[in-house]
Parts: sequence; C-alpha cells; structure tokens
Amino acid sequence: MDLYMPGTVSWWESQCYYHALAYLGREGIIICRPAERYVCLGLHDDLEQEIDRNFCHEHGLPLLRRETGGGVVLLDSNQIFYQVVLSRENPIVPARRTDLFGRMLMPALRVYNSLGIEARLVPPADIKAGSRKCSGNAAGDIGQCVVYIGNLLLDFDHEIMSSVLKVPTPSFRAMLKKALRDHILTIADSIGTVKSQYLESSLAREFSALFGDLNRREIDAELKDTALSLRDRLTSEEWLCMPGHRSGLRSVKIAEGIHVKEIETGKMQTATVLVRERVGEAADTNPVEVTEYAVR
Amino acid sequence: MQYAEMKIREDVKYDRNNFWIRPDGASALIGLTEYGQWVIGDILYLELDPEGKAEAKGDRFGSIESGKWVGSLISPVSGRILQRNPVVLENPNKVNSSPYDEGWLIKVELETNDELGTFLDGEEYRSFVKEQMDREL
Repeated sequence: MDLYMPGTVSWWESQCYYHALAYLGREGIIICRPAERYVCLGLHDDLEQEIDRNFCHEHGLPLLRRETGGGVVLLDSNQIFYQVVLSRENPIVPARRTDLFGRMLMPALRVYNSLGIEARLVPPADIKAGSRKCSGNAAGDIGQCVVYIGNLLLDFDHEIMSSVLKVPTPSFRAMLKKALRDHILTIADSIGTVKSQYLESSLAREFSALFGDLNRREIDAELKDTALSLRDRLTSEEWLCMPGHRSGLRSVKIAEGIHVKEIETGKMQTATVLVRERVGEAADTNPVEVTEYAVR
Repeated sequence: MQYAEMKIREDVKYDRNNFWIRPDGASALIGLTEYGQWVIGDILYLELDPEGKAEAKGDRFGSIESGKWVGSLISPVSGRILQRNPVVLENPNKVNSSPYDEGWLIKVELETNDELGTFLDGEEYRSFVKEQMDREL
C-alpha cells in the first residue's frame, strides 16, 4: 500500500488527490492538512439550502463538493486528514461498504487513545469521546475504488461553522453554535496543543499496523495532473449547484443522534430544538418527544 | 440478514450489480434486488438521472446514499429513461422496504433486446448472492 504524506497542501489539493487516486485506480493512503480554510459539501448536499454563500464570499471561503457521503463541513489547517483509497476488488472491501468503517477508523481511534482521549467508534462512522464527536468520516465509491476519509480535530471554529450554514432564524443559529460547542471535542479542548507532525506520523504508524509496511511516495505528475482537472470539476458552479437532498424544515446534523431542528408548533409557527436520540430539547420548554424526524 | 431470508424472485432477470430487470415488450422496469438494498443499508437519499436521458449499459444513471457512504447506480441495460419512480424520489426508504414492487427505480425504453440474454435467472442469481455472502463470512 502506498503512503503519501505531503504535509500542508492547498485547500483543493486536500480533496483532489484522493479523488485522483480513485479515478486512476491506484490504491493509497494520504495524510495531509489544508493550508487554507474552506467549505466542503457532501455529494448530495443542496448548496442552496445548506450554505450562506454571501458569508462564504465575504470571508473568502472557497467551496468544493466531494464525491463521498456526509454533510457540509468547515475544513482548515487545524485538521489532519486521512484518506484511504482501496480498489473495489481488494478482498478487504466488503459489499456492505459501511461495514469497513470500523477498521478504517481504527488508526484515528488509536491516535486519540494514545493521547489519553478515551475515544470510541459510534456506528456508522463517528468517533466520540464521551458524548462529543472528535472525528468526522465519510466514504464513497469513486471510479473503480472505494474511499474512506476522515480527520483528527486539533481545534475547531464553531463561530465560523455556525455562520457558514444557512439557517432560518437567529435562535436557530444560537442553538446551532451552542450544539457545535457542546458536542464537538477537539484535541485542544482535551489536552492542549499537539504538533500536527506528531499526529501525522502517529497516524502513519497506525495505518502501517493495519495494512503492513507502507510504501512512502511523493505526489507524482500523473496524480497532480489528474487532481488539477478534478479541481475544475469539483469546484465548478454547475457541480456545486447540483440539486441535492432537501427537507421541508431546516435540520442540521451535529453528530450521530444529535440534530438541531426546526419543528412545527402549529398555526404556521416553528421552534428550534436540539434533538438528542429522538428527544427534543427546546431552549425554554421541557423536553418534548419528537415523534418524526429525518435521520439526516 | 441471512442468505435463507433473501428474497429472490423468478419473474425477473438479474445482473451482477444487484439490479433486477423486468422486460415488458420494448421497455423494462429496473430496481435493486433485496440483496442489493441490504448491501447498501438504510437509504437516506437517491438521485436518478432525468427522464429522456439515454444511458448505455454500464453508465451511471444515479447515485445513492446510506450511512455516510455514497455510490453510483449502474445501468444494466442500454436505453432511454422513460420514467423515474416518484415514490422512491420522495421516500428512498421504499427501496429498502419494497425493492421488487413499490421501490422500483426507473422504467427504460430498451435500445435492443440483445442485452437481455446476458442476465442471470433467479437460480443463477441465487448462486451469485450465496457466493458473495460466503466470501465475506
């Protein structure tokens, strides 16, 4: 298995190299981090519904739509990415792709554990410490390959994230910001500053434990050229504006089982609730049972 | 899900990407098999190419998402999409609950009937699924 550790790369390179590997049919693991902050949509996110484009424009936040699942994420240099590209023919790839998350997340889980953070896997693809998410992950079939991607969170800007997303009311935004703060855990929150190089080499060691000896490679011309052409497509206006999953009332997933949702309260009125394992908690009322809500 | 519980019907044809094909004259209905939907898991969203679009066999005709994984829907036949199933576009979970009936995906005007001879019948598909499931035990 090839290992690429280009260190800090541009925002688009941090997404396009794994797409390039997959389209080239080359297996490999990439460990990197983006130099700049940007916003990344999942394949089926609806940009019009999800993103405040004015805010992104005013703050110079570029947009890219990846070809994997999961929702909108704010990515920056305080996150270390791991991206695993496997051939569909690789015997470790199961027909049920989500069954492989457990193994693919093991290196990140062990790195967290080695830092003294008691992280655990929450199916299908979250890593949590206590009730707080500390790693976001996704997967997708791309070309003749399957990719599994995720990150280690050194730190996270809840304020910017809550502003990137389009929301219906100021109270929704306030609850969103609080939910992000309460339910996302960073390494800085837990143990303070850890050098990114240390985390990158720890991840490489753990992936080596999973896959055996890794063949360290540099980003080559074929990979770079393919990534460049993919950048144009994954950031094109047509691709970004592709219609996606829409819901009648706004809902933002924070972590598995935790959503900030707008719910109908009757007479054309709505309220914002934090839904935790199907129980809604409004800011100023007692917990309410939420009988129907989208899992997304 | 156990192999014995997997519903495989005899009145449709199958391909190795876990789609069933039900030919009806010059057109055919296409959907995911019970094994196909089980492999994907709880379907959260699916996107289907627009009606009128021509697809070659092996082309991507849509995409599907479950549990943070997304994948492509690969056309088992060459032809033009006559109809998308509005039920599954509104409620993708119908593919999980009723893969052979309410959960069909698209109706296609077949470019040729020649491709129909390449598909598996129920017995052959049953063997294929057993082989897939045994491989992962």
